[in-house]
Amino acid sequence: MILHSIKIKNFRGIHKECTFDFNAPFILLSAQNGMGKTTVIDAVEWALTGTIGRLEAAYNTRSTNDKERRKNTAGILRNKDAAQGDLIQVELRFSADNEEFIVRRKQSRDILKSNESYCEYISGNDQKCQDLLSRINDGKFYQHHFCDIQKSINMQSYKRDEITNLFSEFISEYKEEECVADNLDLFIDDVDLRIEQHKQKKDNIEFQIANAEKSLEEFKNAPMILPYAQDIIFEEETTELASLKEEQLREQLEKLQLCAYRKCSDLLSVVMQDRTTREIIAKLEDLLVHLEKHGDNIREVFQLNKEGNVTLFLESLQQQLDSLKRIKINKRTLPRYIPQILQLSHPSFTQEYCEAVQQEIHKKQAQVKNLETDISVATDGNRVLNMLTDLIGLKDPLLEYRKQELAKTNLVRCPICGSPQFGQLNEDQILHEVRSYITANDRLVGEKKAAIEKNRAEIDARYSDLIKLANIAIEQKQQEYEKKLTHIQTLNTSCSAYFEILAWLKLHCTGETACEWSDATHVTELVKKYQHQLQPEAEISNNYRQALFLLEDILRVDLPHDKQLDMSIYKMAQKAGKNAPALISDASAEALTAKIRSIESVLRNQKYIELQKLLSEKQKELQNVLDDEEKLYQLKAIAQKKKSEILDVVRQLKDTEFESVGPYLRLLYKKLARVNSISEVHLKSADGKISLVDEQEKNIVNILSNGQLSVFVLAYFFAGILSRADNELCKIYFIDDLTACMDDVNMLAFLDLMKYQMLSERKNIEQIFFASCDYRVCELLRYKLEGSRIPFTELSDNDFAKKIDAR
Amino acid sequence: MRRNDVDLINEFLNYGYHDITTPTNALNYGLNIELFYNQDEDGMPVKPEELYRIFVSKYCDELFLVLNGDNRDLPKLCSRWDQKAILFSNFGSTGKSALEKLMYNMVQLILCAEEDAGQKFDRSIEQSLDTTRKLLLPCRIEDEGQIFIEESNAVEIPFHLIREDTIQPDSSIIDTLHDLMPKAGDGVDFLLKCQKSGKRKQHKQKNFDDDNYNAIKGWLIKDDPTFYQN
Repeated sequence: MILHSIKIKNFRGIHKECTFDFNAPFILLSAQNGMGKTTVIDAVEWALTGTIGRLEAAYNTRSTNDKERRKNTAGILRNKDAAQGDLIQVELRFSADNEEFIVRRKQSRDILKSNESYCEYISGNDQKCQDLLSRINDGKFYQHHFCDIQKSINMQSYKRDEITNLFSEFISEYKEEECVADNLDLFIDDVDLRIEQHKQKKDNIEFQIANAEKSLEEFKNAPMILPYAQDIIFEEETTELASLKEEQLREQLEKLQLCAYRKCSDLLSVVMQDRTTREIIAKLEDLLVHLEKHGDNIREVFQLNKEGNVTLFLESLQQQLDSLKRIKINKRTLPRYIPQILQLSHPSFTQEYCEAVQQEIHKKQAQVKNLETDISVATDGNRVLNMLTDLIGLKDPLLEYRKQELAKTNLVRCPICGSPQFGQLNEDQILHEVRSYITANDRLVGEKKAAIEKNRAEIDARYSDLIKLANIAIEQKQQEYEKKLTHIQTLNTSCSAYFEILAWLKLHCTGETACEWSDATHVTELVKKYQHQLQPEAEISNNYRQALFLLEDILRVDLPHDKQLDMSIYKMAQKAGKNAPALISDASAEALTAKIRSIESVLRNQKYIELQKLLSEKQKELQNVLDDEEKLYQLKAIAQKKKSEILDVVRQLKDTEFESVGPYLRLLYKKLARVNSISEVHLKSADGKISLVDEQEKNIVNILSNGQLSVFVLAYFFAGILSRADNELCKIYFIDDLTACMDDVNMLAFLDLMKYQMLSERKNIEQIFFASCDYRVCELLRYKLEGSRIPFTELSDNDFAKKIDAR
Repeated sequence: MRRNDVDLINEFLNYGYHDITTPTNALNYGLNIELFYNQDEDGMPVKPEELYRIFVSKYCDELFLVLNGDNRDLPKLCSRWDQKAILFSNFGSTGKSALEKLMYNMVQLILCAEEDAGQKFDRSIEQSLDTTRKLLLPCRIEDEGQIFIEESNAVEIPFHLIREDTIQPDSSIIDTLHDLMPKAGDGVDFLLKCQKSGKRKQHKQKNFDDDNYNAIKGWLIKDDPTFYQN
């Protein structure tokens, strides 16, 4: 890779656009301080990486927060004469792999941040150029390609981990090897996982073996096969069991079991029937006892209700009684209750009596009404007369009225009573007549009021009689009902046991009428009839025993603890038996038992053989799993060994490399430093960090003078160049004013080192940018380059001045 | 010759320097090196006893005076040869440009016996750049006149380039590592790249599928005789 030229605008020391041509493997920048030497070098770095390593670390150290950063920003990239909005631009022309590229980097903000700028690819393959810059910009461009006074100063202040980082570049990376080791770790995890799976498999097999062994314990020896009777019970039955497969055997066994259920059902049917008959007889005998004891009561109940149920009767009676208790009679409610009371049929409270009393009351009430009307009329007249009298007290208007009326006509009537004498009588006479009239009328009203009071008293007396009689009627009826109720309840109590038995019997005996149940003779006949139906006890007992045996021993039904067969078991057997195949011949319980046991013996025999086979297979399987597990453990050990070996060798290689870095640096230092205060250089490693020490294990940076330190930094710089030579993409290096504090001898050695490296066919360096303000150094370098015919371009004071003039 | 020793004469020749120790050879490059010689009683040029060789670079821009410094007063020796160099830089050639090229590129390479190196040598003479640059070089001179220099000392010869493999690791260890690593035919190239890992262990998931697992297994047990065989 070679740089050909650079075009700079608004960048650090350069304002107006300037172009600098390089076009040589050696570029000597010889000019006074401030002319722009470092700006050109910085511009190259910025164009390639977007940052300036020399400034970045210092800038970041100074700017500990945003406020500080803003303060430190001004002028860091943009030329001080450029306007605030002017773009900072650097355009670099270079070639690599025989292809020329031009890249232009721009940035608007005056900030030193690697991702702040952007690139325009002016010439060459964009992608290729982008890839190239991406590879160059590995974050270590400044560290690998620049040697300046700052590095020399920094060397003294580096911390141990920074030193470690500084020298790590001399150590080869063993990424693939470490990757293999890491992957072997993953592989070991997988092996562990498989071991775990094998363990689970082993546990599972061991469990199966234990089960098989436990199952085999049931068989002390290979079970005997019992003979199978040749008579056919159902259609599809096969008597040659040997010809049947297990599934067919089980199918036949199932059918036989169903037959056994049916057999059980048949046996239990007789047992259950007999049991019911015995129960009926017992109930009938109980019934006879009750009839003898409460016969009359029972028959009375039957008279009350044909079915012998008096409950409804009792409820109805109670309702009627409650209804009577709810009646509250007074003058107002009496008319409403009279029909109901009449229904009670009381001898005193009759229809005729009620009507007579009511007519009398109605008559008295009419009289009262007439008297009230009379009083009302008389009272109204008196009220008008009183008002008139008051009016006469203020007689002027009345007299004025008469005067006006007399003026109109000769006949003037009293406006109150209409008397024609009104127009003729004098004023005092009128008043006298009125007063007389009122007095007479008041007396008449008093008489009529007295008559009303008398009539009302008589009405109340009639009502009182009627109510009294009604209450007597109700009370007597209540007593009657209560008595009746008590009687029926007594009947019911004495007959309840009878009727309970009767209810049970009605369910189990049909065809008997209600009255027949109250007839002791008839019941006695029934007892005899059922006793006749009873089976012999021995037969019933035998049936029961056979059913119990089939259920418990052959069909293995879980029976109650007391082994009593009840209706539910009978129903269960009956239900299962319904699915039994059609029978050709009726098999006995013993025959079914023998056949079932025969098939079971065959199945047990087969099971025994299978268990033996299974056990053998599982034991082999277990052995295989154990073998595999052993192999996995071995494989894990091999993988661990391989991983350890790889890491050990890598560690050994790194250690060797580390050990050789010191002597290597020493060689270069020896070549460059004529007066040598250190005879050995070592990188001493401890706690993962390293120190740079001499033969006495003293820190080298403490021993060396500034000039020697510059030489040591140069030795480090060239050691890096040489060690990376094979893999370095950009073999361009920048040395900026490092010779300032070097003496002539060391400086001469350094210039020679550069010269011989440039002359070397190894081409470890393709281009050097050497900046110095020391004219003696520049002159000597120029002399040596010319003498050894190394092509070089010099950017001298004049060249920079021209650019200054141009700006 | 010991391992890593550098044959000085060969070193000059290998780096393209020409031996102009004899005046005749020097004249081929337009240089009169008799100015470095002594004169006998007859005024004939005699090679000084301390002078081993004189070399000139390919482009005649460097001159190396290889001198024997053993048992000599080095400052005096250097001073005497500086005088000779001044004489040479003025009259060593008819071509002035040729002399100008050499004028500041003359080196006295003063050889000293190895065992004397270090403590005995007064390297202060190297600080002097008057006329010539002075380099003190410990060496071992064989009976046949061959001059051998240890590699660690040879770096002081200005044009001697340090081998880049100085910090390269031991090749035998590299070979061991190579043997431990999978080969192209092992079918486990995927091991060279970082595989996804980590939390899968917790989830009881395999890191490698069965094919890759078997490939790794095959690679691991290939050369391991200890692996259990059915």
